[in-house]
Amino acid sequence: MDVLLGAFIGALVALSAVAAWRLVARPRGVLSPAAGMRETALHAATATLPHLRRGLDRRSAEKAVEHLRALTAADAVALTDTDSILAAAGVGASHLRPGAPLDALHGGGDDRIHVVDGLVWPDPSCPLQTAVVAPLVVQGERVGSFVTFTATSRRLTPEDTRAAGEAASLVAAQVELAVVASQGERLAEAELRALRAQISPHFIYNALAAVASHIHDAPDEARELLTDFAEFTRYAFRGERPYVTLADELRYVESYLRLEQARFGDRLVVRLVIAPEALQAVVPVLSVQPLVENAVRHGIESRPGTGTVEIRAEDHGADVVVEVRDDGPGMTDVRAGAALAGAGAGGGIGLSNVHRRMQQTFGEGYGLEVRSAAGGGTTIVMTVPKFRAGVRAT
Amino acid sequence: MIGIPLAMVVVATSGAAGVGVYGVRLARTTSDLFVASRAITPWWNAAAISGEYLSAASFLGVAGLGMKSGAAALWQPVGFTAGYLALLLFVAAPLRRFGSYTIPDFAEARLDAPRMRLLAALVVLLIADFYLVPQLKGAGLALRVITGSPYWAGIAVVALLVAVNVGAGGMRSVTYVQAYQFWVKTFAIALPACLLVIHLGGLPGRAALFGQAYPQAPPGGLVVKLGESRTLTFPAATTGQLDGRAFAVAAGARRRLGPGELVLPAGSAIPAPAGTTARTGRAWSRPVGGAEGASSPLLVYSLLLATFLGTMGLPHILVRFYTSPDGAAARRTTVRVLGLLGLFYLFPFVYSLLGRALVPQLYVTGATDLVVLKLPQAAWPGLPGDLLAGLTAAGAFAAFTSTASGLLISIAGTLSHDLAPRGGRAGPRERFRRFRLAAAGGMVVPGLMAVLARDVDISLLVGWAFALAASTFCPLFLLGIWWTGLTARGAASGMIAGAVSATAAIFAGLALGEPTGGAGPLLTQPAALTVPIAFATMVLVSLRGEPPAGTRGHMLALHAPEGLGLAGPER
Repeated sequence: MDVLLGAFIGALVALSAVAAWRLVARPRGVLSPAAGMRETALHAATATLPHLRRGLDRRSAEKAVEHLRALTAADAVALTDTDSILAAAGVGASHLRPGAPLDALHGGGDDRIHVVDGLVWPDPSCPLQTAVVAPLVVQGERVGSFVTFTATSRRLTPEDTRAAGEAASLVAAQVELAVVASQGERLAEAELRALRAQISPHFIYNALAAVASHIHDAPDEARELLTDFAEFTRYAFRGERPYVTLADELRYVESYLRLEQARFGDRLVVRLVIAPEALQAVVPVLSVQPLVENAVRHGIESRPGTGTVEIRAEDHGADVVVEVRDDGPGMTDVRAGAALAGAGAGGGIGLSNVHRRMQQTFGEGYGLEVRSAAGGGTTIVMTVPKFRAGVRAT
Repeated sequence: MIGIPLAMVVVATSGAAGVGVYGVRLARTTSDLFVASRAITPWWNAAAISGEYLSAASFLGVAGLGMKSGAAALWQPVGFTAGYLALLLFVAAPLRRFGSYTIPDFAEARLDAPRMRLLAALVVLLIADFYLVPQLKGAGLALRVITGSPYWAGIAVVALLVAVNVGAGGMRSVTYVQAYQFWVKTFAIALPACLLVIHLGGLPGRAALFGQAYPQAPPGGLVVKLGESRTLTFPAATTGQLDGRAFAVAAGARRRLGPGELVLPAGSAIPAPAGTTARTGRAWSRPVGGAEGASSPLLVYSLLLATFLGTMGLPHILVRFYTSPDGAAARRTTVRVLGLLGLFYLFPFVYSLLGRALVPQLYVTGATDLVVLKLPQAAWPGLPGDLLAGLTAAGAFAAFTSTASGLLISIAGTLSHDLAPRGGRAGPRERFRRFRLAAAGGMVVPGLMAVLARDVDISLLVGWAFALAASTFCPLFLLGIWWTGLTARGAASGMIAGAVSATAAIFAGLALGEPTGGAGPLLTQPAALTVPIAFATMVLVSLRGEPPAGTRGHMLALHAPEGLGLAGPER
């Protein structure tokens, strides 16, 4: 028995040793000079990229210039925005202080590479004589320049100019990626604003009417409803809160539902089955409420008699699943698909908005799913991961 | 005889199933629609954490080790509980603020390195498997005592039960189920302990507990069935019978006996099997001292280090903290866990004390792990004893099913989420299907290992799981949370160094048999050696590299109190 157990654990040790070796060891080999240079250049290029992908500012430029100097093999390099130096590295970099104006480098102010010869420095000891200024053009607009300097002792070659141009386009491409990413974020924000704008005037009218109808016969209730309404609007219209916990979102759904119940009375039956383990999951703000509003509209508003809205939240290991179910007329698969794609009529826009925002945040495997059959009610299933790096409730 | 314990096990288990089904309360009216009222209070969560934590090692192992090694075994529950102090001081609140659900989540996000997820996932599997083996071993032993079934059958039954339960959605209202299991276990260990002490009117055989005597055969003589031949060391001159043939041995003699029926006359000192030594009450009741065995100072410190630092690295425990709404609640929960565990651990040693006097035959067979199950009938023959034995059996069953479920959920989650080829792409249904498959498959390896590990003490097996956790995840958490200089490469090297050295030491200890002498204890419980190795590797390798760019943001998220809005979305 002991021998077998030993063999078993021995295999485990061997496996972990192999894993250790795989992770720690770097491929080694003797490189030819050309390959060595290629490796240096590639390393410099890949080391530059992540810094600049955050956008072009002093901090990112500072991190990137040293690698850019290795890449271009110039005596000194500098990154600038449109009117001052952001960071510099190399021989005589002390003369290129960040924030210094660019007057000395202003040759023809156009968007082509140009050479500035015979630089004049305040400090005459500076060895930097010649500069190649390559513009950084992002989405058709000049955002700054990449400058390589050549010291007095060396003549400028055409390769220097070409290297400066290539490095500049590399930098520009990365900065462009940063711009695109921030545009993506702005798009997501815009979608959230669009959803806020959609919270229907119809609902606000109905809610206020319900409050009005209670004011005389049940003033306490009316006051509570007004509080709910205030809470609802504060949550829905407060900006700068892209993610909240499921608990927060559900609290808000509650105040929404109380307003709807004041309007529908006994016609609206609400059932909540919430696993406590699911409450801390982080969801995009206003993600469950549109589903519930949808259920109320489809399940109750569109037909006579009572309707039930059921909200379930379940713990599925690394995921949390939220289901919103109504027992309304339901819909066909085609219409369900259209609702998610944003082509459906009525509440479809809200659903597609939530679906898109969730996929943007969590990736393809998450989002909404509509399960419905004509006459059999509709269930909207929302899946979120319990943790996603960088997504945090505020 | 079989009927009572079996019935009580069934009652306790179906109680847990009932809590699972009805735990999520239905609410139909607006008045109890409040979400806030559904949040788990720190007390509930603390009971759930304790319920998931108190395993076969705590329910059976601590009492067994106590009977075998005496007061030195008390360090184990001390360490098991103190581990939560380390968790409270260094990990609970920051980790909750960070929001990560599993250890691989934390490793990847804190170090911005997708490979760390892979490595952490492999270590999770290693630790969880090591921890599952003693649970299944406990199951095999307990079911054999209750029903007389072969050892492997108990393992198979419990493995299947747990796998089916987890695969069928076992995490449904898991907090309530585990909290229920905690109280089942505490009741099942406390009530028999109190009643037996009252019934016996105090502790019998005091000389064997605290004086100069060895444990002795009871007045009616001692009859032990030896299933296989064993080498026994007789501490005093004894005459006895084996299968009716008389034999006589001198004090200190070693004799290979069995298989057969060993009969020792009343009052003769109980012999000890190979690997253990018979001890007088005075030696038995000394917590530290002696160069070998469980009371060797090196082993004691190593064990304390493993348990103190290892608790924070147990994968099935950390996920429970996700249920706390914020860092403060996580801390409050941990304090309550300390209290609840302290309550539970008052009782196992009562069984050790009574067992030494009343069921000394367990010394001869080496099966001291069974003392909790065997003691009630020996101490109080008749119906009361049977009922109390049923109660302890039900508690033991709760212990290994609840811990095994938690561990299997961790294993299945890791297999299906962290190790599956890019789990994020697959849809929710596909992910759930994978989880079920992983739950079924994840039970196979620990099941087989449990069948092989029949002769290894439960507490020793659990000690290894703690040693592994202490030399891999503990440095990852402590340095990852409290040091800005940690790099992914450093963390990976440190975890690998810790895991490899700990596994190698355990393997060497197994291969060399019971090691004795200066460094021998380090092979039994390697933490004192491997934890410093892991920390040193992590720090030294990290110092050579540059910490990831997002470190400041992560530190803010880990440490800035909630509600200040400091740790918003990054960028």
